[in-house]
Amino acid sequence: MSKENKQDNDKFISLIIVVNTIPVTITINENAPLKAAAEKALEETKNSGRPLQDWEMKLDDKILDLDKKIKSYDFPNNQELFLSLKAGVGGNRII
Amino acid sequence: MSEEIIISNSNEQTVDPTVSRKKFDLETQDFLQSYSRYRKRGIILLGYEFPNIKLAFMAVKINPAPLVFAVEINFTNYDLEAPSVKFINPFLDTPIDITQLPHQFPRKIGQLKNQINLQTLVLSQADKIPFFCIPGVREYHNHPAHTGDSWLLHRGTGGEGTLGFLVEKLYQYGISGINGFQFPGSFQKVTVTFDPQTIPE
Repeated sequence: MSKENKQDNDKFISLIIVVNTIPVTITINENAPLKAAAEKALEETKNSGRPLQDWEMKLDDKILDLDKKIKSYDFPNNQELFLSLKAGVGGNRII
Repeated sequence: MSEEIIISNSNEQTVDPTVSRKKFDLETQDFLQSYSRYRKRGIILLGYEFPNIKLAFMAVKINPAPLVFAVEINFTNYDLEAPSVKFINPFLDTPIDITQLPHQFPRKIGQLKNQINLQTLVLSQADKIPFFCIPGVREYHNHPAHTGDSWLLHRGTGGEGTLGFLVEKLYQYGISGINGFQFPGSFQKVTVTFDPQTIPE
């Protein structure tokens, strides 16, 4: 691997992930999938009670694909993202 | 002899108030530390004093930004019981009935070609008192239809019933999909419209 490629693979980014009102800064390789950042944020905020698939990460109200690489989103450094538990099954009237 | 846990359905504080107050303080402190983030999304703190916090929700993506609804979240007996969410008039601090809400919190539950299937997350019974019908809300767990889904199965497992969770879900289903106004024949009551594609699942 060339030095240039290695540098590209080692590019890190900081994301501010707000988990249930609590912000945590996660510094992570841009080549990692977004779910790696989500997992770190849940670990740091001690939210280990529910599996990752019960959570959703949002930017400007749009749900992000946790399987995509972080760099595919082209986030600026310190981008703020919201990570919240999905609502359970409720409601009962179909429109 | 087995011990039985009795959960009251009233607003009477039966849990040691020091415990509920401490937990309320932790919830509100976390929220206040992130308040600037929530305010940018149109979530306005109207006031708080144990056991209640009052919040207004505005749709800031449209102009002028309407105050769509306000709630009083009550932490009596927290967290042996889930918080209660009551919809209120933000100016009078009085409960409202379901006809006074501009919409009923649609949730997308499926799509077949051009047909989008929705359900409403705010419901009411004969008394017309609206309640937010998701796990983590006291009214959901106390409802006779949900006796099999006790709050104690959700408590402390990832955030349901925390202030942050409730604020996020009220915002998600109450505000985030709103994309405009709808003017009926009479301008006495203007309602809001949703872009069907952006209604959250």
